[in-house]
Amino acid sequence: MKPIIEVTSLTKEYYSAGQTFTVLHNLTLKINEGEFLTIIGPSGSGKSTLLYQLGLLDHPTKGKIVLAGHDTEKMNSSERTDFRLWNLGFVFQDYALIPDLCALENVMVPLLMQGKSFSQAQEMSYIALARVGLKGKEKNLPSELSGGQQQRASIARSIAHSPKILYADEPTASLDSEMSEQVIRTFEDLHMHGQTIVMVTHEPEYARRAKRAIVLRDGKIIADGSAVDIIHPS
Amino acid sequence: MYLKKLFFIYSKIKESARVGFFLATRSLLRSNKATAGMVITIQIVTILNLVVVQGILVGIVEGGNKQFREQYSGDILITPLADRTRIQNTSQLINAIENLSPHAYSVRYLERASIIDNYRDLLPSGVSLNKVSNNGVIGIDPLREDALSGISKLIVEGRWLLPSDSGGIVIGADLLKRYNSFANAGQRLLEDSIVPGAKVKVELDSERAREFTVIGIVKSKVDQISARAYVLDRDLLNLSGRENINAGEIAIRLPQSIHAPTAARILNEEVPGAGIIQDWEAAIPQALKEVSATFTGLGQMVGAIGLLVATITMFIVTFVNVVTRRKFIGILKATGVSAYAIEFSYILQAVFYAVIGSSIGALIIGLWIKPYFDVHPFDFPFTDGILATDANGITLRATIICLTSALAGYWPARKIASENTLNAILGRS
Repeated sequence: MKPIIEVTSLTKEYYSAGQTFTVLHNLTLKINEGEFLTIIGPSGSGKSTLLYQLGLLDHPTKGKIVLAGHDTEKMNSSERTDFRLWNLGFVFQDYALIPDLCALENVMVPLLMQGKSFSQAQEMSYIALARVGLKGKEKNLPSELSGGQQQRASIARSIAHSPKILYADEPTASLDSEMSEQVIRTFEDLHMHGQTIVMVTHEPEYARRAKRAIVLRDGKIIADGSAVDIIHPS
Repeated sequence: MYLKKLFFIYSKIKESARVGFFLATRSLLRSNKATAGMVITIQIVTILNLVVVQGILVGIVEGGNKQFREQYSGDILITPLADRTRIQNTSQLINAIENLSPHAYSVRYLERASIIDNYRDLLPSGVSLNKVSNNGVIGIDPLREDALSGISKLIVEGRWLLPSDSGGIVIGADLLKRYNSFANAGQRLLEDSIVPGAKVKVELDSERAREFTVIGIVKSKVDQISARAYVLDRDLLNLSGRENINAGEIAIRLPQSIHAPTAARILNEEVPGAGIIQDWEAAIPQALKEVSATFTGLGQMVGAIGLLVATITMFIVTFVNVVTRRKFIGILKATGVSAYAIEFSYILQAVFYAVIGSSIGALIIGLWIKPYFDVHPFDFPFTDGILATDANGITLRATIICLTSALAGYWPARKIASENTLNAILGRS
């Protein structure tokens, strides 16, 4: 397996009220292609911050991130957006669907941006929605979908363009257990088909469903290994 | 290498425009109807403000100019040269005019005269003759004058002259006391007894005077009509006793096929030095032209302020819309949608509202306001103000509104779309 994410000496600092807060301390990490990795840790440990750096949504203070063989350090804003379009998928905690667009249109947007024809984008979006169990809900606006359905529509949007890496930030945090289970099963299914997934969660029972886990505390990796081995079910 | 880069840029612009259009159409289709209605109303009010306010200000003067042309000057007005009192070679000039096959023309003979209303009365000692002095008495062919200026429609008492009305006079309302509530102090005016059928004396000088019977009273907002008296041309020539039949004024109405400045040039070439031969616009008095320029400037200033207010309003509406959607703009960027696509989407939405608003506004103006003011002009004391606008003027202003709306839509979208993606998603400043 070749590494798809290579992080070297990653540090992220924030400045507030004249003070510097270091959220990530000199992290070094490699994630291989096809891995299902979960990042866990207590609140404020830097889980989401790490995900945002890996997803090129934010700029690290120091360190280097290589994604799918591309050094992201020298990319400008437009190149980072373009890289996200072709290589990355995102699932956010609060679904983050565009309220004006129905489920199908939400999924279509990145495909259209990639230059796919309207009918091609539509067809691919139907397939992606069916894959996450939303067949028949394509024309529903986000407000007409349940929380679990919205999150699955969000997953469909993030996978429709076949990204190399799928990032998920607390994808089950706003869902009840039944819906959370549906979402995790969707991830497991995607992983079975070779999708690289990096998921942040604070829920151990879902974190254990990943193959690998890293545990963050105070911005440092304190454990890295098999999810089942290092995460206690409780 | 260059071609490859150019193709890359082209495809990026194309995809951004396509996605921008996709986002804009969906957003418009599912927009809040009340907000959309408010934005469109702002656009309607803006074009009404731009076209109507400016149109009225300019129309005050335009209305005056229109009446000047229709009731007095025709399309070409010929007046004496500065150092002459009459047009030279009038008969030669008339031949040249007839060669142009004009729609109508009127040769006006002009004498300075006094009109006296109480010359028959036994005046008590200390009371002098009511001599309204230094007025133009015009000798005309009444049928030709009416064909040119439609003066018979301006008669407010009695009737217009007929060719058989020898000894008859039509007096301008400005010479009568009852039509002049704002007459200058000390200005002499004809008494209220001067009605159709009354007698007045027209006196050119102490030796040349004649009694005339009032046939009618003419009233117009064009000074040159209301401040004069009209008699038959042969009566005036007889009274003046002059053999020289050179005219004081000639007004010509041309068919639409003849361009007035061209006709003026032809007449100038055929009878050089006969007089000042001008098209109607050139013949408008300088003072009126200056008033016109001032009102046009005022109209443009008011219009510019209106446009600025509309631009700021559009900016605020777009800004509020963009700020409330800041998170979704961040999400779009996170999923790989370019900032250009987002900006284009907001520009399209702003332009859409501008086009709809401007079109409705233009229809209101074209189908209702303009026809209404054409039939019911503003009744100003010195002119009938019209709504000075046309299809080109409305189109120009609608285009300006669309462009400024595009700018007002672009700027806030640009501001949000170019900020840090994560800050937009998390709502951080």
